[in-house]
Amino acid sequence: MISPRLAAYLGLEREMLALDLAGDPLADRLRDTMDPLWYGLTDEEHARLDARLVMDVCSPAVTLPIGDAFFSPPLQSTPLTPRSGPLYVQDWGWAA
Amino acid sequence: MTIVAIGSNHFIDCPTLIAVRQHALLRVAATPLRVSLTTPPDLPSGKMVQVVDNQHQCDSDSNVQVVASDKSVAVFWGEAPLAIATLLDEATVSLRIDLRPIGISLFDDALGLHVGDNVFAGNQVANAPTAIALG
Repeated sequence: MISPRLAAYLGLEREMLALDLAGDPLADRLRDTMDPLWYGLTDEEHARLDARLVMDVCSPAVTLPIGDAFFSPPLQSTPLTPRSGPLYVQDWGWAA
Repeated sequence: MTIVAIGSNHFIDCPTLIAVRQHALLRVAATPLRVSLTTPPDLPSGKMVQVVDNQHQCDSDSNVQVVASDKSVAVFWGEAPLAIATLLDEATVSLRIDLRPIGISLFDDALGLHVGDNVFAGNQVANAPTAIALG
């Protein structure tokens, strides 16, 4: 999970990049105002941000809204069930 | 030229296939076959996958495994395959992807590439630094 500060930083970064892409000079001012937030992040958060493969997504061929369902609870595999004998299944819809 | 086939779509010479909010999520290159799968830092599930050019990065979760050979690269979360890239010929890569085990509703099947409740199918995208930007 991410901290509120990191979430705020990423949100502002998205807005700043959108302004920058539009050629709006306010992007630089927003970048400057983000400095205190950057220095308020932890070393681990700095390392996480520095390790990203980012910022080469200008002029995408297709832009799609992310949608509410994009982030979802992770799918969990059904746990294994040890069996001592054969398993007989008839007219089945779900066997676990 | 590199063609990546995912769920009835063809991506031709698109280094970044999918980006999420200015963050490159999925990149594939051929000759040699390389897969990069890097989840955004604000992923709600917190399941960090950081694989760059088939290499497991130090900030990636310990559940992440990469199995690579000359013609195939697979990225796993535990035993669940997240991405499997297979080199069909020197320029064509077949890619299967299913990020649902890490809390991202993105997977492919015969119908197309499923993104949340939507399906991206039957498209050819060429010569774009980023093919699909989600945001």
